[in-house]
Amino acid sequence: MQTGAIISGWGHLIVIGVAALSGPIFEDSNQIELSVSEVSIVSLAEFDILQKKFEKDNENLDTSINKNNDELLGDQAQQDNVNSEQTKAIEKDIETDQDILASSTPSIESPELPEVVNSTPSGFDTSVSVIGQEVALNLDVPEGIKLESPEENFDVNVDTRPYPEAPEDVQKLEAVSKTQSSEKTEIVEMLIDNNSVPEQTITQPIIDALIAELSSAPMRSVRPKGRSLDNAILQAEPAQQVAQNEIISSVSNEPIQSSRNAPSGPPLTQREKENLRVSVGRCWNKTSLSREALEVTVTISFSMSEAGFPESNSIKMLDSFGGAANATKIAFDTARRAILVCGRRGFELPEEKYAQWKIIEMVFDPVKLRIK
Amino acid sequence: MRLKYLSFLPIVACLVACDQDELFNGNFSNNNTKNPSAISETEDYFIQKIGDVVLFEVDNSGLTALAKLTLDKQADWLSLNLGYQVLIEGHADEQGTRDYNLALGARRAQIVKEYLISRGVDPSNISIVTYGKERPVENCSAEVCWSQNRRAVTVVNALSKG
Amino acid sequence: MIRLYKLLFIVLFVFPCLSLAQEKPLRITITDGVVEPLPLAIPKFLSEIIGVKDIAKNISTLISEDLIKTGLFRIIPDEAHISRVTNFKSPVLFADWKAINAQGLISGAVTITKLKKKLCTDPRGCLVVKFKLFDIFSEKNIFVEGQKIYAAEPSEWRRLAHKIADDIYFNLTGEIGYFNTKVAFVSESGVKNDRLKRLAIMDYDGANVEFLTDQGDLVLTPRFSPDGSKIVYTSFKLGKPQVFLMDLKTRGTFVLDERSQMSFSPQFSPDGTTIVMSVVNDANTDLYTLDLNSGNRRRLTSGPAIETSPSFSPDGKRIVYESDRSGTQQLYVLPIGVGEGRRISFGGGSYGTPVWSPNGDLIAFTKKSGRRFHIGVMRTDGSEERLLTSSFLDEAPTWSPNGRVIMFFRDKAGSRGSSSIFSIDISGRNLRKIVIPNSGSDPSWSSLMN
Repeated sequence: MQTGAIISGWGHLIVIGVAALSGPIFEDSNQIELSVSEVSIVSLAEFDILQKKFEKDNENLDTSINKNNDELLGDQAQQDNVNSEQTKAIEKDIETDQDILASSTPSIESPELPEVVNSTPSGFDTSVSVIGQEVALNLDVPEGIKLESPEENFDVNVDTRPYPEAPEDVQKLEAVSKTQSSEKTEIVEMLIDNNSVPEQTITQPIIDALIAELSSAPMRSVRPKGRSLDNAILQAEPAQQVAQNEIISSVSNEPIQSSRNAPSGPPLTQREKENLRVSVGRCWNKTSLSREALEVTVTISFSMSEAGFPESNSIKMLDSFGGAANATKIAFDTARRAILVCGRRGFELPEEKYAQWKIIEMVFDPVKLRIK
Repeated sequence: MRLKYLSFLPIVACLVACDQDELFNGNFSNNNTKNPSAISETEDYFIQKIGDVVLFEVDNSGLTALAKLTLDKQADWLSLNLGYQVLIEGHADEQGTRDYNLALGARRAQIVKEYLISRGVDPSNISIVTYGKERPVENCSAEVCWSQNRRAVTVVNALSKG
Repeated sequence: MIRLYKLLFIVLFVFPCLSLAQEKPLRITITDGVVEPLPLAIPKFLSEIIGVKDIAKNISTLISEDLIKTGLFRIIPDEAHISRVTNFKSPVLFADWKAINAQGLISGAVTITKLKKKLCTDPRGCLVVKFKLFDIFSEKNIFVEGQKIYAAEPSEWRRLAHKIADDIYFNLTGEIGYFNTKVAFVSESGVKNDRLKRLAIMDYDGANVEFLTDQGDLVLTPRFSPDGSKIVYTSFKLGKPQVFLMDLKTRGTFVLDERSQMSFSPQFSPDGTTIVMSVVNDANTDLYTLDLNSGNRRRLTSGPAIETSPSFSPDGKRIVYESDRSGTQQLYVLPIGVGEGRRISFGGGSYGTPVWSPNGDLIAFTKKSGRRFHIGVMRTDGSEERLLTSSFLDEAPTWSPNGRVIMFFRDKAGSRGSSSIFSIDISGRNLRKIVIPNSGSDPSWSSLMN
């Protein structure tokens, strides 16, 4: 018997070892590569076209001093045509995307939501909405309202049973995430207390964030790779538990505490940083910036969820120089939009280096595109 | 080859003739400020035989030799025919900005005036006006027309109408 | 099973690295952005009473047109919208607007109602429009007050729409807008050697053209007063070019300076109290200022050269003008009462019609090089000259109130050639023709109206 146990033991270890080591290799095949078209209006291809067109236009600008402006007028007509074509292409995209969404995500309209509604304190009507349903948010939310019940239901959804073989670390992780959720309540309150902006802007993002979590993350992908809205369709089960934890962390508004065990990994490569730079830059739209605002450099700090999504409420301006208050506001708004618009599909960042990019400071310096 | 050049001659001759025609028959176009029927015989003679227009080089208000010849004749006529008021109109072609052309027209008119004075015309009888590029006689956009528009027109008015 | 082992792997090999968790935030600098029209959604404005449906639609359409024509925005058509704005008070479903990538949303509601102060002469009352502006991705209502409300005569719906567009423009770009403005210009008809000209005023987009003079007299270069109540212009009414003033309310006109032999090329000072103009003195043309209140005249330049086309700096202390004292038309800047005019143009070719930007940072001009004409801009010291257009004859730039757009006119070659008024951004892009019934020239852009 002893020999058998030894052989069995070694065999198990070998199997575990092989499985563990070959895990990364097989991981790819478990992930179904997304080839579904993206939900957002402008596809990358179109963005590229637009970008190229802009670059082309810029070249023409420099050399067109002696060019007959009648040609420019012709371009204008062409531009209008292109615009209308693009609009049509865009509309087609929307239709396709909506079809895909409609056909493949019936689970989005899940019945979990009514539970949220029933348990909220009085004075706060929330027939919370998901795509396709009606919303009727009562804007008269009294200050200091506690959104406790969503948290309670939150706990209901989160599976906090430790894995049978999970070592201490994991248990610690989940214990932390529990405290995290109760801390979250306080953060929400503070938001309401501190915020003097009309209520709608207070409740809406929070509600939306909660909807997103509760409805099986239709807007959030589970894994960094191939991240886009439509990843929701896949609902990668293998990592569901991890996903739950990610959801908790992504909702938190403050930077994650050091006790939270976020993977740090080897240093971020130049290429990875460059990817992020390009990803945000793609949505940093300088077109409408006033000349004053084009002189302003803003530094923005924000935190990211482990899934690579910027946390909207964490975006704040650390520093600015180069302009008066109004120009700075515009520069900040534009930079924030850049983060949120391109971040809507999440950013490509290595999960194992999460600790390095969970808090980001971004400096927006419009040095290159100042209109003279 | 030579035939080609020869055939050019009549064409050129025609053009020149046309140009000359302009000068003599340019009553209405050269004299925008005047109602044609009001031109008396003497004034008609002035326009047709003496020549009421002098032309200028591009961006220039200097008098060419030909211009001086014409102005000499004008001065002579004016000294013989007293009792006429003179208005000199300065014009420019379309190849310049509006305000500058007004100023250029004024300068051209003034230079003609000073020349006439130097030839004995009574200064108190001469006034100037500018039309800049607003009253071209020719409206094609080429030198053959522009050269005609760069001009000063001497308009004579009988001091007392009979 | 594999799921389990994968987790195990992560747990065993990755999580231990957590002890090295970094707290230092990642710092990234972004210098490259895109220049792309900002996508906005402007659904048809709601009509709160029967009978204003058309006006409501026209208003939101005109706002869209104003914003599209700037080249800075792209309007997502109503058909592409997922949720509809059916009630002005309803909260915004941000997710729906994000889904179509609208970064801004403008919702509005229109009614006609009698206001207590009896502001409007229309028997039905005043046209009242309220509107909201949302930053979709930040999920914010941009107006601090939540919404804005404007009231006007129903017949003035265009002006109201332009005003709303100005507000939106300002809140999205930080620049003041230029939609609620007028342009004075010369309306032309007839062939080149038999041209008839009339003074006219129109909305900046070519609507509401109104004639100020009949075709009897040759009129040129109208210029708005800063408060928009008067224009100065050159007229041959008295048989020679003279500077005239017209009160736009009364339409009364009078000649400004009878002492001058001939005068032309007038411009208002930024405070509206003084006119600067060219006066002919024999063979010279010099710059003079004329105080509108006292009638006092002051000579600014002298010498045998032609000085014309003057334009004040926004602080009223300097004048940019053109002079041919060097032999060709060049640009000069004169600090009033302090010193000599200093030349600022040095490129090949000749320069004229300089106009100082309302921002004070640039001077627009007409440049002639070779046989072609260009509209260009340069810094006030003459540096960084940039040509924006090129054609047979482009001339007479005038600035939008925010210094971002220039209007000018373009003449076509040939006997049947006629003039058209165009606008172009100072970036050199977005050349647009202002569509008006006849030909037009000598545009002058007003300040923002009320």
